[in-house]
Parts: sequence; structure tokens; C-alpha cells
Amino acid sequence: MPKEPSDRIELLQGTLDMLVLRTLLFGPAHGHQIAKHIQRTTEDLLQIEHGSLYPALHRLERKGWIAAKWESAGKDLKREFKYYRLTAAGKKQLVAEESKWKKLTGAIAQVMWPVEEEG
Amino acid sequence: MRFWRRKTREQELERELQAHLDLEAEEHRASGMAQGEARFAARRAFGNVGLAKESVRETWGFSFVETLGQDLRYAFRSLRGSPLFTLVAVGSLGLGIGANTAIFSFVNALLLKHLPVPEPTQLVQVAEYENGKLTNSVFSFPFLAELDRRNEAFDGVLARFPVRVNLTTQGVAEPLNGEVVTGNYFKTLQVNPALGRLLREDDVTTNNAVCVISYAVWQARFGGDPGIVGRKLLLNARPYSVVGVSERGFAGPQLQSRIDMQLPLSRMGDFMGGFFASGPGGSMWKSAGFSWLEPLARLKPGISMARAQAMINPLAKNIKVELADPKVRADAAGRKSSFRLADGSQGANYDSSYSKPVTVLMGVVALVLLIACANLASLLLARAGARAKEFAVRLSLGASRWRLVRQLMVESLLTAACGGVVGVLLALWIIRTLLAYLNAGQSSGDGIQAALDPLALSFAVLLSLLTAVLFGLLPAWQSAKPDVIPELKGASGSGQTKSSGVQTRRALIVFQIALSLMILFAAGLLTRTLSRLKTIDLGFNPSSVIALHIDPAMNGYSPEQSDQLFDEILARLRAQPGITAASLAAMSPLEGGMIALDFTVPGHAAKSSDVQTNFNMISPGYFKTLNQKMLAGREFNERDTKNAPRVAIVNELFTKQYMNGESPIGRHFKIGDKDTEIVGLVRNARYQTLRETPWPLIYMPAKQTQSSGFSTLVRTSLDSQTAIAQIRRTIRSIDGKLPVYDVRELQDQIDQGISSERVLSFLSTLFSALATLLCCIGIYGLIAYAVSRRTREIGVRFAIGAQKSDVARLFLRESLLLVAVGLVVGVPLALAATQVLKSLLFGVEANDPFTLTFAVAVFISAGLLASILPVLRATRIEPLEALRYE
Repeated sequence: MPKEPSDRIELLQGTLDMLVLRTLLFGPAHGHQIAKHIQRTTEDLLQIEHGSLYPALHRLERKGWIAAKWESAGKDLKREFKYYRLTAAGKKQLVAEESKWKKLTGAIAQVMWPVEEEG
Repeated sequence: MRFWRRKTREQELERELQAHLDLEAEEHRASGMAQGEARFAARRAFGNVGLAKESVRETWGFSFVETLGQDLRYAFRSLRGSPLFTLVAVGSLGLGIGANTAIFSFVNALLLKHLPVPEPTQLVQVAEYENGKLTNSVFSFPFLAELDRRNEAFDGVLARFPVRVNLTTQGVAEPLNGEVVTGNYFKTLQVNPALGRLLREDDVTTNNAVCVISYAVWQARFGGDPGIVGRKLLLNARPYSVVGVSERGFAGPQLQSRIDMQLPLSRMGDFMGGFFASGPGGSMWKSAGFSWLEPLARLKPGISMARAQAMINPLAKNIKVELADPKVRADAAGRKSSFRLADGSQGANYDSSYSKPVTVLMGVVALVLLIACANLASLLLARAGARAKEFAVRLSLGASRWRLVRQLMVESLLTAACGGVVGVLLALWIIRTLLAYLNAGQSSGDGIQAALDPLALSFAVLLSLLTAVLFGLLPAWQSAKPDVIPELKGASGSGQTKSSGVQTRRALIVFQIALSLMILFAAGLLTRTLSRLKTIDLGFNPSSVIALHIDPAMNGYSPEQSDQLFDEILARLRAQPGITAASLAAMSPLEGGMIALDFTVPGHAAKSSDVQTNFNMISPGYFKTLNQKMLAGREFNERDTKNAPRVAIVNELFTKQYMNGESPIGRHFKIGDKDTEIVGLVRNARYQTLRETPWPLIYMPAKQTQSSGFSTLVRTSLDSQTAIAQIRRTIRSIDGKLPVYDVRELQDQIDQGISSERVLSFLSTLFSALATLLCCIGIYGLIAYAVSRRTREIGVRFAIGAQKSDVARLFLRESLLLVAVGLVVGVPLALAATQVLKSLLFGVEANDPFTLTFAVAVFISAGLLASILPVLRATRIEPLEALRYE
């Protein structure tokens, strides 16, 4: 079940792009799949309106980090979805963002939970 | 193509989002929800679909053209949605832009243009003043020659006199504009030849029959013939050789008229005939007693006009006294006259009669532009107030503040652009009308040239644009503030920004009224001036008189042949049915020219102011033709010929000034050295201009003088076109090659003399009417707004027993208060501003209380009229409905 809205955490600005890129590392997916994936993996903790995903997708597409193609969804030949997949540039961008993010969380952690210094 | 791609992209986005929502809903249904509930849950998870779409579209990064297209389409819709606003906004902008562009185009043509010669700002005009009034702007040849020889301030003082030239080629006559000039003319102007040589000093001293033609005439009349130099032309039936062509672009030293050729000063007699050909060896042109030449001097480099004036003033006075007739030399020396220099970069014409009205019009249109801008500003403020709710809705639907502002900017620009188009059309119309008025009766090529000035246009457009953007955006920015809730709730008019908007609008209307009052007052004074000039007592009756000009010398007639020719013309004309009288005059009344001769009256001490006494040479029947009243004695008759005793007729002012008002009949005086008997006394009549105070006048029989060119005056009972055709036919039957020019009704000639007054009166009245209309619109808008805002309050008032008149008074007071404040500000401004008009007024004072009262009354009625509709609406408010009104 979805969590109560009050328990949700608002997404930090700029991190949605990274999450989308990371999700697409598993392979091409359409918007709904990406949304569901993020929702599932965070156990509904992150407050993401599905609507906010699409501007991010179009932005990433424009930057050339992901590419899109309309395809029918596996067994259901009547319905087409817009599938996004990671490009080479997107992969590089993901690595860069990931390391940036690691540094950031590391720095924040150092302030919040300082390691006791010897002596 | 781009729009097409945009469309598919839009459809794809729609598909993509719909697919998402469908999938989400399906999932919810799979977990057991009802269909409707599932769809709703999907929507909720998705958030604001419109906002998401809008954000996606932003990431697409529209091209500038696409956005503009979008905004323009919306702006068009929005302007079409409020046609009244659009009409008034575009109209007032168009008025402001059009009026200014037109008038500034004239300013450029008249006031700012320089002669096309090197260093035109070095050129100065010379004039003589007495008691601060211009007394002389033309001088004798010896005076100017001496000034040129003895001064140390100038690189040359040239002199010129415009003449009519009749060019005959294979029997076909063609009139050209010429001028006789001094030998230093071209050297002083620093004009170079395009071909051959220009005139030199020796052309005048040896009296060469030569001429220099302008580049334009060389091209247009002689097809740029390279062999033109040395060719003989038949000018006024005398052979002249062309010695050269002047530089391209040069057409004489006057901007307002085009000169086709220059001739040596000494050839004057060939072109003016009779009088000028007189004197020993035709030397009248170098007589010191004969002032006729317009001077133009070039300052030495590094000498300022002020310094040059200080240098030449004493010199010019000395020369004047030296050259004065011994009889008046003492009087001349004692006079407090001074010589002044004036800017000559626009050429040798003291005719500033155009520049003053144009300057006044410039002031008027500048005010009109300000009023139009104020009107637009107040309109935009009102519109912004009315649209506050729309903005609030759009903001709450997710529009960004910037987006709203940009949209408004596009609307303002569109309005300004439409205003610009209207303005250009209006400007073209005004220019055409003004040119037609000012150049009425001039042959083509003469007169003022003016075309739409792009610089003036862009200035006016820019100012309007600035107003539109400024006053369109300020309120938009304010009302686009994120706090949208009160607006949506419809809290009418308690907001802070709104009441400050109303204050600004009140201030703008007061400002408009004050400025409009200035224009209306000025227009009133100018219109009264015109009506005074129209109803002035001329001393004669110009209606049904046709005037035309014939100069037999132009076709090579000798003076004796001329006399015979005129006798025959008059006799033939008088014999025609429908012609009641015909006569000759050297100076047709109110033509603008004057003739002065030397004379002495026994018992009257000569004064130099005697030159103010003017002459006219007339044939028998002149006073009958003009219906000018004889008070005593007789008209001239056929016996007053060359060999008969000399006679003259004088006017009342002459007897007053020279004979202590005693009867002049039978008394003798001398004209030149010829004893003359006064045989008649006539009423005073205006002679040179309408505005003059009449002068003493002496009439001489045409046959007893040596003038050659005469105006023929014909009184007819026919309609003017028939009469003119009949007169032309008659003259052609006598001599087919005789050029007849300046044929017009005398009344037209007089009207033309006040054409600039007409233009001023017409345009200032038009502009003041429009300005007043704009004020009315402003007042109407404000009162209507106040009524709608206070509907509930009015309801309460009615409910507790207020009468309709109480409510009406409430709003009428507001409107009249606005007008009153506007008038309090405007009246002193108007009184101060119209001081500038003083020299243009006639028969009315610059602070005329009647006109001022009229202007004030107009504005009070305008204020009342403008508030009638909204006040009526206020008095019809039903208390119950008003209290329910949201």
C-alpha cells in the first residue's frame, strides 16, 4: 500500500534525472514503467508525481542522454508505448552524477555523524 | 513545416501521457477498484496534467518565431475581444504618431535643412532693425558692394533678385525661375561648375549677355546635352549664351523655391523692363536710392556671428549715411537703426512666415503626443484593472509571471504597431493637405517640398512604444503578483494596487485636461485671428475680380509697343459681355510686393520714414474695377498720357501725414524731379499684406511711368472659370506668344496670403477637438469604473433613502473635480504658452478672456457629457440587486 503523504520525502532538486538514468541502465522502459520502478524500489518513500517524470524525460532526451522510440509492448501488439533507452552519453552522465552524489552524501554524512577522532 | 512538426509532437505527448494514465488505471482496477475510481486514482498519482504538459513543452525549447506566433495570435484575439479599447488605443496612438511625424517632417524640410553648399552655417543674412523691428531686408547695390569691399568679417557679400525668365524655343514660350546676381555670387556660395564656367565679376562689369543654368534644368530641359556651353538661348526675346552649368543639387540660395538660372545683375532691365531699364544706359540697378537686393554673406572662418555683427554694424551705418540722399542724410544719421546678422544656412530669404506657424504646430503636436500617451497609459491601467481576474486565473493555472508579462508586452507592441500604421497613413494625409494649402497657386517645383521623414516617424513610434510597454507592463507586473486568492474571490476593489491605479489615472486625466486646454485655447485664438483677417475691411471689394499677369517685355516689346498692347487688351476686354471693368496695376493688391519712389512734398520736412509711403501705377478704371471709393476729385482718364501734365491720386493717410489732413485736390508735389498735381483722393486700402497697418499711398497713371509688367484686373459678372477662359482667349487673339501667368481670382490670392493662418487654425482646431475627445474618453472610463466599483455602496445609499439626484451629484462632483483641477493647472499654462503665439495673432490678444472662457466652458461641458452615461447607470441601480451584486 502507498504510504501516507505525510511520511513521504520530497525529492531533492536535480536528483530525478539521476534516478531516471539509473533506472534505464536495466534496459529500455516507457514512462509508466520508470515511474513504477522508482516507486517500487523506494517503497513509496519518495514523493514523485508521475507528471513530473515527463518533463524530465523530454529534457534528458533533448540533451541526448536518452533516446526514444515508439514500440508495441511485447505481447500486446495493438498498443504502442514510447520506450526510452540510455545512450552512451547518458551512461557517462550517469557515472558523473553518481560520483557527484556520492561525494555530496559523504560530505553530508561527515557533518552529521562525525567519526570520533583519536586522542 | 515547423508548425506541422509541433503538431505531431503535441499529439505524441498526448498519446504518451494518455498511455501512462491508462496503464495506471488498469493497475488500480486489477487491484479491485471500480472503473471511475481507478481513473481518478491514476490522475491523482499523476498530478496536474496541464502543468506537466506545459513543462514538457518548455523543455522542447520553442523557437522564437513559434512563441511570437503564439503570443501574437493570443494578442489578436484579446484585442478583437475588446474592440472599443483597441479602437481608442490604436486611434490615440495613431493620432500622436501621425501628427508628430507629419509636422516634424515639415520642420525638417523647413527649419533644419541647409543649403546644399559647403559650410552652410557660415552663411548669414543681413537686415536693418529700428526699435527692435525689422525695417529692411533688401538693400541697394552700392550699399552691398561697399559693404563687401570694406568689411573684414566676411568672405564675400553676395546680392540677388529673383526674376521671371521667358525661354522661347522655336516659338514656344516656357517660363523659368531665374535670378540676377552679383559677380561674387558663386564664389561666396562656394558652388562649383558641373560644366563650363560660372558667373564672374566681369560678367557684371562688362554687362555680358550670359547665363548659368542649374544641373536640374540641364538634365530635364536640355537632356544633359554636353554641348550646352556656348549655346544661345532666347530669354525674354534676347539672345543669351550659356557659359556653364552649376553643381548638381544646387538650385539657388532659397530652400523653398527652385532657381533654374543665374544672370548678371546688370541685365536686370531685360527681365523687369521699363523702370529697371531706365537711368543713363539702363543703370537703374546700381542706383543708391533703390533698395531691392537680398544679401547673403559668408563669415570668414573662425569669426562668430556675434563678432561679425559687432564689426559690421558701425560700418553698415556709415555706408548708409554716406550713400543717403543729401536731403535725408541728417535724418538717417540720427536714426537709432542697427544692422543685425541672422542665420543664413537656409538661404537668402527673410520669409520666416512659414517657420513660425510650423514651430507652433510642432508645439501643438508635441502636446498631442503627450496627451495620446497619457490617454493610452490610463487606458492600459484601466484594462489591467479589469483583467486582474484573468491574470489571477492564468497564474493559478500555472502560467509563470514572466509568461504573463511577455504576453502583455506582445499585446502592447501589437497595439503600438497598429497605431504606427494608422499614424503613417495620417501623417501622409496631413503632409498632403499641408502641402496643398501652403503651395496653393504655386507652379510645380516652387514652394515647399516635404516628404515623410523616417527619423520623425521612428521617434514618435518609439515614444508611443515606450508608453505602451511601460504602462502596459507596470500594472501587469503588479497584478501578476502571486497572491491570487483575493482576486479570485472577487473582493471588488479593496486592493492596494487598484486604488493606486485609480490615483494614477486621475493624475493622468488632470494632465490631459491641462494640456488639451492649452491646445484648445491656442486653437481658439488662431481661429479668431483667421476670422478677423477674413472679415477685415480691405478698403476695396475683391470678389468677382480676376487678376492675371502679362509682361510684354518678355516677348521683346518696347515700352511704346507695350503701351499700345495694353490699350488694345483693355479695350477688347471691356467690350466683352459680362466684363464690367478692366484695368492695369503695377502691383496687384495684397500680392505681397511694394514699390517705393523718391518724392518731396512742399512744406513737409523729409524723413527717412518717408520710404514707408508706397506707390502704385494704375490705368484708368482701377478704382472702379476694385470698387475702391473715391472721396474727392477724379479717377485717371485717357487724357493722362505721357505728354500730359503729371497727375497723381493719394489716399487719406497721405493727406494726414503730408498735408495735415487738408484737402489735397489741386495741390502739387514732386515725384523724382517731376512736378505732379494731385487730382483725386481715395479711401485707404490694404496694399501689401492683410495684417499691415495701412500706409500712405500715391497712385500714378501707368502711362506716365516706365513700368512694363502689369497685373491686369478684370471685374466680371460671369463665373470665374468662364471669365478666365474668355480672358485668355481674348489675349491669345491679340498675341499668341505672349506669356500670361498667375491667372487667379483676386479673392483666391488674398486667401492664399492667409494660407498659413488657415492651416494653423484648421490643424489646431482638429487637434484640439481630438485632444478634448481623448479627455472625454478618459473621464468616461474613470467615472464608469467608479460607478461599477461602488455599486454596492450606491445600493446601500438608495436603501437608506438617498435620492437619484444625490447619487448623480456624487459622481458628477468627481468628474467636475477632475476637470476643475485640470483647469486650475491648465489655465496658467495656457496663458503662458500663448505668449509665443503673439506675433501670429491679429485683432485678438494673447490672453483674450472671451476665448479663455470659451475653452474653460468647453471642458466643463465635456466633463459633464463624458459622465452622463455612467451617472445615468448609477441612478438606475436597484438597491436589492446591488446588495446581491458580487
